[in-house]
Amino acid sequence: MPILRKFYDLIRKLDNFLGMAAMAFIILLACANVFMRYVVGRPWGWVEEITVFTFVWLTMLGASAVVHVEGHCSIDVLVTRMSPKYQRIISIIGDLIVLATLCLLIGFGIVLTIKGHTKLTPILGIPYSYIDASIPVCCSFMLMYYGRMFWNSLQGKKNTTELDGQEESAK
Amino acid sequence: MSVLIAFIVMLALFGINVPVAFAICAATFAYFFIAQDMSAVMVIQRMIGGADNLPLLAIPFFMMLGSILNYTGITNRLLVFADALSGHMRGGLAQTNVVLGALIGGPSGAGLADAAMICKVLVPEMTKNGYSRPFAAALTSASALLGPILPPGIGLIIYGFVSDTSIGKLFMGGLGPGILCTILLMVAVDYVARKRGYKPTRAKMASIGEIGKAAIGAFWGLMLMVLILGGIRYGIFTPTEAGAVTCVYALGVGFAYRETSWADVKSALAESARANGSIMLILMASAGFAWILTWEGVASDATDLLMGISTSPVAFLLIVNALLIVVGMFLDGNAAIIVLTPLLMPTVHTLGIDPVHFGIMMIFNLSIGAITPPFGTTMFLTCNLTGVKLDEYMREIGPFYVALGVTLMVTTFYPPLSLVLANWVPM
Repeated sequence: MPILRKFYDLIRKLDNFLGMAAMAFIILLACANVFMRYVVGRPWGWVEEITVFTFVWLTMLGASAVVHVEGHCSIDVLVTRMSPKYQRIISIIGDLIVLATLCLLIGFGIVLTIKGHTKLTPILGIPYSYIDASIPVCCSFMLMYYGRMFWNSLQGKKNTTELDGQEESAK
Repeated sequence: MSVLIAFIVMLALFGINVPVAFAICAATFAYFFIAQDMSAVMVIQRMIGGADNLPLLAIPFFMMLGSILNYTGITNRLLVFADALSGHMRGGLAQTNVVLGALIGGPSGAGLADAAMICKVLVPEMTKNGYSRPFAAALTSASALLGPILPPGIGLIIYGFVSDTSIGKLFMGGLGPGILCTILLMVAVDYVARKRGYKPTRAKMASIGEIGKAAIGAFWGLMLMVLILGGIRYGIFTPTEAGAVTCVYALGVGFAYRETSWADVKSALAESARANGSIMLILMASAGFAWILTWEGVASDATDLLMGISTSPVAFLLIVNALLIVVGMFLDGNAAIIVLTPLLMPTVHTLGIDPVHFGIMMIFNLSIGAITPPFGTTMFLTCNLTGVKLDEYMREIGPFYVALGVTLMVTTFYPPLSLVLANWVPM
């Protein structure tokens, strides 16, 4: 299914790129605010809201991008001491738990996003929905990644953070 | 009871290799389904609430600084400087390892990143010069511990945020124990080097001129620390802003040295965005879990329990030290800070212990857990990167444990070590 494949690759580039952009943006914004405070003498009041907004998105996008490259940190000491058969069973159970947790995060995240529509930030009046949405959106990305990895491991393919044997490029 | 179930679920999931962040989320959801009438939307709300905080923004900024440093040539110049300072001592390269840990550890702030960097830069060099590889690995993990307590450690930021303590004070407070620990680690290196005959790197002490030259070379790198601490001390910027300003500063230095390209900037941005995602997701998940503990009143139970054992601050600190080392072996330090701080703070306040002093002790202690078998994360990372087996590593870590243990005890029972500098900050 080449279209699905293209979509998948697009999302992977997207979270990495947006994460980078968000990072660059908040660094520059924070520096600009220091400049405004000392040199111009008039700090922007709205900076705080925009920064927090970007920060939450940056975190979720980064959390999504990390799945493919370094992977989320986990404790594998116990598992690596087990026989391959048990390792396989446990890895399937573990994957299912991750997928289920992601589904819950997406489901309740959507509920919160809809609820947040009426809650506005104090200065700019941005609905909280735009902040809350970061969880369901990025968890959907992660669900897709983990789902694919789970599928691969069920079929007995090597389950790695690399994609089809190609080295993941972080750029 | 239901809290206990959530705890057990969490530990079981850790054990079967479920990523830490998802294990905490799953345990929180499990609690909500078993024991709460409230909708689990609360979990998401608490998670967002966990990230919706300006002081925590210092985390991505200092992560970014750590990534940038490796692309700017500042690290290499600090290495030359560290060698000029300590190359003439017995076990020269090993001493340089410690000094570099202190110089780099400050600005980059994260133990894991430092361990990875020193593994790449110094460990191959050490093995080439006749040091045993396990010794190099053990030493590297020990000197990487300097990162979390020297400013601007990520753990200090998180603790300051959770316990409502001034982050500026915590940064300053970490200096004393950090410097003491550096000295003690160097003594430990000297002891091993004397026993095994590890040679100095240079024949005699670098001349003043040579040190001066190396210092000038590393000047802009050394100024980083001055910029961070000075800026916070004199209230020019908040710790968060200090992170952003130093990122731009380090990039400027990198471009001026002609060692940084735009491609490097992009890699550093992507790397730090991911590192931040990984840490902050655990933090957000822990914020959800911490809500359960508050709701169930676990903090006051914990206070009653601790006060029941003894009401003397000394006994309390000893108990907490023992507890934290064990926790640190199993749990990621930052997650542990988020979950445990609210439980311990009421007792800390009741007993009249200074929160800055307590925080520095707690963070240093949890970092020691990170290099302690069987689960220490920093230990695994260095062993993986250097290809050293765990039992070889454990045979070499002994002298460094003594140095770290002494630092911990002095930090615990001699508060002025951390408080004198901390109280110098007006905030």
